[in-house]
Amino acid sequence: MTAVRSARVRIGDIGVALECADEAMTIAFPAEAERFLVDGSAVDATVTAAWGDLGQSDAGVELFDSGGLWKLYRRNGDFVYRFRSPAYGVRPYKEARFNADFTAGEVTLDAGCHDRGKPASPLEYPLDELLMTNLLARGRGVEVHAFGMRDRDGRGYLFAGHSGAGKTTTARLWQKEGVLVLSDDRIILRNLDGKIWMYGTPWHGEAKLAAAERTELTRIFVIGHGPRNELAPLAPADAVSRLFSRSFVPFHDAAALAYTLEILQQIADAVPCAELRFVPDASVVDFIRRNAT
Amino acid sequence: MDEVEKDDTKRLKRTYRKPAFAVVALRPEEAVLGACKTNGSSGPSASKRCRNVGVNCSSQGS
Repeated sequence: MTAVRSARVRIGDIGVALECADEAMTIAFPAEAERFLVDGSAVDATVTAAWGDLGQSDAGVELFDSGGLWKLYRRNGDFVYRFRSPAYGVRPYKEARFNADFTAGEVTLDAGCHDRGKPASPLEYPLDELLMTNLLARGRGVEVHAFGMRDRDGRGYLFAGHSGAGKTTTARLWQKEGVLVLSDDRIILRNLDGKIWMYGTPWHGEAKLAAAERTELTRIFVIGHGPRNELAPLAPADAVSRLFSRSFVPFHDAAALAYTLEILQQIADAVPCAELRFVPDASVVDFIRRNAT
Repeated sequence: MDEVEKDDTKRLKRTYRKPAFAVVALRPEEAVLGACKTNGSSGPSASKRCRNVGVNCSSQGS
């Protein structure tokens, strides 16, 4: 993609506008994200980006430590994410500041940690996903750790699982069947117009499968490997707890957690859920088609 | 109460089940989006392939 100074991305029917506030900056997106770029659609959030110096600035009051790349702070009523990498020591390489409802944000890329001669990626992971999960948790939906697809007959299946549960394996098995794969790792769920929809996202897994599409959700499977293919129906309350443990949620925000449980309850009440133990070969495809009716 | 009514009553009654807690495992290291899975550590470290600054990570947290 040619480097640009502004762009709009739409994921899960949620629009984010990104604009360079610095004349010396251009932005570019990875190939997987390019398919989610749009022209002129409505936006839910506007983010500006600029170069800056984060060496001595005060972050604010610490709210949450991810234990990895980022920490979250509160500063003058705003939420501030600071990103650090062992490659740069204690100096943050990026800071993102958002208003209380995440509809407006400013990203500062530390000039000392970047090559200013190259196009920047201000929303580079995990910031793009953090922004999206915050927007979702404010009344829009939820993102789950799952492989999602639309089968040839139009049925939408969601296979939720932790790392190592078999999402990518399952995705590769179904991909050979000519289905539409929305994502092999991250799916957004939304309750719109009385239906439960699942959306593809750019945050793919090892199979690198991502589609800027959506489909109505027909069945949910919580997956794990097993000696044979078998299904065990889940009661809605059980499904909610299992889906919650496989969701990406702003854990620092009590209201966001409450909403996430509420939307998962809506989803579990509307869509049959089951635990799927499966054998990692093509037999699981036939098994699902025969049994998930 | 006739037999039909007795059957109906039986069907309406449900066996009492004492409320119980069910523990569901959470994987916080995955759920908080704090790490990159590809290089097996928290964000860019020794691996130049996953610097997470200017180089996209293909299996981000999957």
